Amino acid sequence: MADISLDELKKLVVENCILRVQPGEILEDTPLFGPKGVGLDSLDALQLTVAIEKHYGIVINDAEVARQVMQSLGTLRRWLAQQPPPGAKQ
Amino acid sequence: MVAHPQTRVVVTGMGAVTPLGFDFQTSWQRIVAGESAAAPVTLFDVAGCRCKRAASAQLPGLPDLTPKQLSRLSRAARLALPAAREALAQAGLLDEAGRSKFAWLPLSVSTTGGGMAWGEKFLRAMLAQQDNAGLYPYIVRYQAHHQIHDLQRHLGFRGPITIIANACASGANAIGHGADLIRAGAHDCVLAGGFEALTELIYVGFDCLQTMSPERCCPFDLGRNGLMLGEAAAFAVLESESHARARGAHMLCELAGYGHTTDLHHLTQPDPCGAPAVRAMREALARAQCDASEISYVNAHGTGTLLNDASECAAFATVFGNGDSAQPDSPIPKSIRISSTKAAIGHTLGAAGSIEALFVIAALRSGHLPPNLNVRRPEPRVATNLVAVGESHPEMNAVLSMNLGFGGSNAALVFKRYEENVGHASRLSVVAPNRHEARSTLTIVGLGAVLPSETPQRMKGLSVASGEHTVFCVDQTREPLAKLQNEMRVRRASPITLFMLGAAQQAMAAEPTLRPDRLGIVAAFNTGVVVPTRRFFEGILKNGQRFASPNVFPETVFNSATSHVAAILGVGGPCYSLVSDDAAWVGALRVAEVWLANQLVEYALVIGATELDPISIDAYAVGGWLPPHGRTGFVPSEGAAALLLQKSNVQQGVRIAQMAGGFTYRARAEVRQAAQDCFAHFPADIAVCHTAQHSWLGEIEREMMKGTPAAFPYHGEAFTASAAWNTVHAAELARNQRREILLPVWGLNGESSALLLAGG
Repeated sequence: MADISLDELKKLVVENCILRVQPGEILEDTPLFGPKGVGLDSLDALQLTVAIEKHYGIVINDAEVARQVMQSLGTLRRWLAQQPPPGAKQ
Repeated sequence: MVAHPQTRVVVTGMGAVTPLGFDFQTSWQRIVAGESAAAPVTLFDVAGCRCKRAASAQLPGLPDLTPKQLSRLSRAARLALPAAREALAQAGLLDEAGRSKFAWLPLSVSTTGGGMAWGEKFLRAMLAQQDNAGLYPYIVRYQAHHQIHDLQRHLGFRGPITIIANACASGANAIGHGADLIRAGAHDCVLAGGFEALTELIYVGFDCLQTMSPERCCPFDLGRNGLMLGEAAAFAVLESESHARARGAHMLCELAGYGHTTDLHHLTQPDPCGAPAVRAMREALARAQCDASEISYVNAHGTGTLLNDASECAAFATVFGNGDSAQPDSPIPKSIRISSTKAAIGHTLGAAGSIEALFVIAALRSGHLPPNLNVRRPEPRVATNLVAVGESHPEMNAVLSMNLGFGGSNAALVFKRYEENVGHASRLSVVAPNRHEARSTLTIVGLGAVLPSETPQRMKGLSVASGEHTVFCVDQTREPLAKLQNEMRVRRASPITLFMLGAAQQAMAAEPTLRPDRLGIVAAFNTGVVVPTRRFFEGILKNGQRFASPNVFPETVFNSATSHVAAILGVGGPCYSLVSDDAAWVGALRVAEVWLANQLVEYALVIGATELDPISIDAYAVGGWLPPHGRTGFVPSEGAAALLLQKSNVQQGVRIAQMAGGFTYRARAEVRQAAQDCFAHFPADIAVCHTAQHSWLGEIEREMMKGTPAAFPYHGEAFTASAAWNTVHAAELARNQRREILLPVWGLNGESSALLLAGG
């Protein structure tokens, strides 16, 4: 699907995960999970899968895939760019 | 209150409505036979959900009720009433008309959703801008205490009510607390249990968390992929042994031990090692004077989720294996039989701990064991322990029921075969339960309050018809609340959490060296976490079930706010979240008194809290409390207050010297009598505070007032928070003027209670 801007993804994460940080404080390679990163947890991961499905129509059913693509905004952005548009033939 | 720790608590009656039967015996026979009630959900639309199955109950008929009476009962009440009646009947406490022989019978009850289906109906109507006409009963009767008032009314008794909303463990808490009440010397007979009805909000909540199995629930199977929700009600009659013996009751078993702890690991995930569950089980075993090796059967929480079952296996290995938490893979002796019954009747949330307690009692008495269904590849740590269909164990002497819940609430109950003359001391025999023990022994060590801003604001309801009204709101941009919001743990939390934390930290400042392991927390709510509840359901209606928010749903659970407070303060011991009207505040003080009397904790932190939401405005408008109909100056408000309490051994300092509650009423015509009954427990010549001048109860309160009344600043109406603020004000007055002050605590929805504060 079409490239999604980093700012758009930052906004998505901050709003959905109810973070009290400015979007600028999260860099493309900042780990989203764990104490050395943004500090998101499993509930945030679920929330982001719902938000991604709602905004981009892309379903993440596999927990391992979710873990891989949500490591950082960069991994998420690159993975989304590789996905076929919703409704397209696989 | 004088505790009698050696008092033996016995079970004399059991009753249940489950997805497998209208009564307990039918349910038990079918569960032992290996049946499951799993079926497609038909109670509400689940088209947008990932999962479509649950265990629904058939509602028993209630032929003694008129159609009009039946129409006033929520589904939750339709489950609870027959179950409670069956328990009373087995205990020999029902008269020929089907009403309780005891006119005064304390209740210790649990639920998580109450009559939430009616709350959903109200919220749906407000968002759709429907006409308000006819909606008042839904908003009034969805709250949990109304199902309890229904139960009391149709079974013909009154008495103090403790409604514990500790999520999935609360059914065990309710039964355990019933025993605590008896051991603390507060009562001789308690009706204890839990109830839960399936509702869309909760079903969609679990669905969005992806904790439900789309296919089938298989606890302790390596291929498990989630739980199945269910609905049920289950009650037990608990008595002191002497009370039961004096009235010639048949004793089914002994409730020998109860342990409860709080897991601070995460709001929705258990500690992977199961350490808090271990502490709960060991506490229950210690209080039962029972070695782990004496336990023959364990009814596990066993939801069928990856994390719950793994954590529970680790806890079982520690308690029943070699006792070393560093070696969670130590084998559990095969002689200890373990099963989860949730694949058969589902996870019944607030009822789970109660119905599962009844199952272990039935196993103990019958020798039959309820099987763990749907296991193909068993979890290795319990592979040799899981109960198969048709298994029996005739020589059981002690059994254990374990529950874990959202918010980290853990509870364990140990039951023993009843044997006479086992060396326990017995109390003097009595036949009728104590009508009321009003004397109290609580010293107020610390006080804290988060008050709303004195500058009124305006708030609109969701429905245009509800209008815009004056409210008092807490300024969350001011310290300490602004700073508290930076805590990562509470970033998703509802504002009520911040109010509670602010008040709690002020109260705790009086004892800066207090260790959290010496502390328990009791929170009292009326509407509780109403902001996330409205947000979550509004999200379902606007975005569809598929896009319900996993980040918001856990915050809709009543005890989420209390769990956050416990986590920030580091309290891993007992934590209760109570719900009712304003009278929950007095109920919370009673819980604190019982904990302190039984030496479960050294200090108790009691918090009353309320948060405002636009749906609150709709509710008050439909109730006729706001202009143009409300004529008393009622202003909706929010905030919290907290008391840090210790057991008083001397008549010094500011104390809660007496408490009285449980004087319930249903109609306005009954209020005056309830208030008179309540006030009769206190000395007649003490000044009564004027607390209800802005509600319709003000007139009755004025009739009760003698001497020079004390009036407090009006911060608006915030239910349990108001009751808590008034207690703080009254305590300060009692301390400064060195006198006794009687503080009425009016439950606007059905219960009259009062506190006597003493200073000097």
